[in-house]
Amino acid sequence: MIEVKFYSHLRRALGTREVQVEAASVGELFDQLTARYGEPFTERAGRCKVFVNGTHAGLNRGRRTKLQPGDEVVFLPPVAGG
Amino acid sequence: MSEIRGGFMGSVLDVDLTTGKVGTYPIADQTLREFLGGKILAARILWDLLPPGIDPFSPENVLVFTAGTLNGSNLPSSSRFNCSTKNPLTYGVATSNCGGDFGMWLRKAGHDGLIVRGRAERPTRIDITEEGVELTDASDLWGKDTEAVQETLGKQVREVVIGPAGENLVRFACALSGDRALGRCGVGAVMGSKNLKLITAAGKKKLPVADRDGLKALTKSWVKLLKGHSVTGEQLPNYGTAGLVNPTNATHTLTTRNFQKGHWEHADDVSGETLAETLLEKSDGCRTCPIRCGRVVKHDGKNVKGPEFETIGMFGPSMNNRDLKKIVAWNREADLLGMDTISLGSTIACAMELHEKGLLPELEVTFDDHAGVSKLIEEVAYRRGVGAALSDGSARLAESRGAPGLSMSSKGLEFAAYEPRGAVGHGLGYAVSNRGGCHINGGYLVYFEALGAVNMDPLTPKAKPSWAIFQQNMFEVVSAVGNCIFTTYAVVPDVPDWAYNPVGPSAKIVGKALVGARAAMNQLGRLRPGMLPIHAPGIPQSNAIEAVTGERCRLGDLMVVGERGFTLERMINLREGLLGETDTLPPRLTDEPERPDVPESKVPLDRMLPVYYRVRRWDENGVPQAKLLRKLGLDFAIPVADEVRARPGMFRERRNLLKVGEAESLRVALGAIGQVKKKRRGKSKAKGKGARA
Repeated sequence: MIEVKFYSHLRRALGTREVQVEAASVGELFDQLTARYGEPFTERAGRCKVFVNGTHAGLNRGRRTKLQPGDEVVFLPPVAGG
Repeated sequence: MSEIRGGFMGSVLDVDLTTGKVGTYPIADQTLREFLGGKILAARILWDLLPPGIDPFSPENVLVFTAGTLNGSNLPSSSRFNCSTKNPLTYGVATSNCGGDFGMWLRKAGHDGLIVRGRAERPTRIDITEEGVELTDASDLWGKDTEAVQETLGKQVREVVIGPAGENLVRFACALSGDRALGRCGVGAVMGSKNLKLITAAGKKKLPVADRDGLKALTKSWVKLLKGHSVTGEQLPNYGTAGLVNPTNATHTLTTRNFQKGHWEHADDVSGETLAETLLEKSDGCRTCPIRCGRVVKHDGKNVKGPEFETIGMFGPSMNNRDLKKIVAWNREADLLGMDTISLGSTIACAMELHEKGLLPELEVTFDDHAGVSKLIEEVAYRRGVGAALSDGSARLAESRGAPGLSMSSKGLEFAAYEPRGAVGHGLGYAVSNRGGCHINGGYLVYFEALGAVNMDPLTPKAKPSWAIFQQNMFEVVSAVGNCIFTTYAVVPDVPDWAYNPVGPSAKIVGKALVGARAAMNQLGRLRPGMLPIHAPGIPQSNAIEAVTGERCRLGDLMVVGERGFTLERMINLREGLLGETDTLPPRLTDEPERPDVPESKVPLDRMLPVYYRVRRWDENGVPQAKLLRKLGLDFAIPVADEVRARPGMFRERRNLLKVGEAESLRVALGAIGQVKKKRRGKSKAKGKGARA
């Protein structure tokens, strides 16, 4: 199983901190979550970045990033502070 | 008579606590044009007034409080003021920036700045009004905490006060203005060393503004920009900076157990989301700020200031503490006693690791036992018990125990809560920041490497020097004008939904473009101001300066002023003996991968630093070239640069001598302050007549 964590507004919109999903790639995971949560997910997730075990999937293989059982995937909104 | 039509009150006060003399310090129009205000103007004043090589706790040290150029304009997030002095932690330049109201009220009293020299014979306060300046005895307030002091003041004044930590010369003591702090670099300790308990300002004067209609229109559009952006209009208002805990954790940029790791399994327990769900009462903000990132939380039945990300990082993961309520409590205790929570938390975490390694056996708190932390915080503030060993900061503590590498600091100032091995450009920033291990003065590259809307590869050294320089220069000028740096986060516009797919090819393309932009960025510093005669969308500071002062200011001008400020602070550091060899990081961060399975997860400082020097047009030892100094209008610093190049050992020795003698200097300074007047307390003049300007 892949552990998926949501933060900030995505967490609030979906009403959950984390879910477990079976998926072999980031693209597959994205499609599954879209199917499960619909608009509340796509509206917010579209602006998030996806990190797999601390690595930015978008900067690497994107949708084709492979997932292994036990991997941690997080959806991060843009943030900043000081 | 100034020819500048707005943006300045035209007066910088000059107070000598030794003699009681009060006057004004002359600032020419051209100086205001070139150095604007805030930390950059303060650096210019320090260059002239700070005798090289003095002990920061000696009467010869100088405090320079300066309003930001836009303080009093009511533009968004424009209330921040600055204090610069000689840094008791690093022996280089100290700059501390605060969101409290004091800067605005200093202007209401008619002044752009306040210089404080000397040392009063006994605890003293400075009260500044439109009518003049009074130095009065503050013996009745000596020993009181920051809140107790502020409660004695009316609502018509705004103040800067120190707590017991400042009185006891804790090297990272801060000063409070309301509940906001001049947090970093030990400004509170320097105030304490001068027997200066508090400064108040009051008045009703208005800042002259060159173009009121333009200012009004700009205010409206700027507020709209900030409120409409996902970071400044959504993320920060809803979760505060505490909202950074989960994202930094996910990107392995969150300090954990004194920077042993960048990822902590309990991060969500102390996150901004958890804070919002459990303790948050309401949001809060600095005056004129529409972002409202401040938190108000319930503590002991009372609404108090909530912790910022930095405080949570240091009191939470860095100390392996999962209890958010304890973080709130320690934050409050530190504020009341008057201590910087970053340096305090980092020093305690360092002490915990020293204890873990058997090098500080007398410590009673550990990474797994936090019961005694409150007691320890108090001991640090009063230099008592084991806490006394921590009162001089982590660098001195770790060195005294034979393990200097365990202090997570650069030049003696502790890092912020971002672990740089997950964002290596951020690590470069820590190493070259003028005030020591500061994330803001370092350029805050973690925004482009991990946290912001668009990211470049966080582990490549490529392009990081170029971006660090650009960011450092921009932050320098944004701070100097009195803006919060959070106003710069809208510079990266929100990507429209239709154009962005987080797992599509766009992120990679943008990431590569950011790295590829380095060649063009390297040329930015070589441009003359007139070659960028534009206002950049997302950076309204140039429009703001034009509207307020009536002086022409475009993006190119802003960048030159920023570079001028950063370079001048560098020159102050060099003059004080902080040579290029102090642009370092602890070996843990440069040699040990944060993730054993990712060999690149360490800071390749040796690859970035030479490029950084070259792009800055500093020589291979980090000394600015004469040509650069001339171009920036810093000709007066050329002889010092030449001397540093010719005789570096003399400057190195200058700093070493201070370090060797610092225990005795501290003893002398502690003996000279806090001599409370026993009999007549209150409104007696500290220095007799003439204390008016």
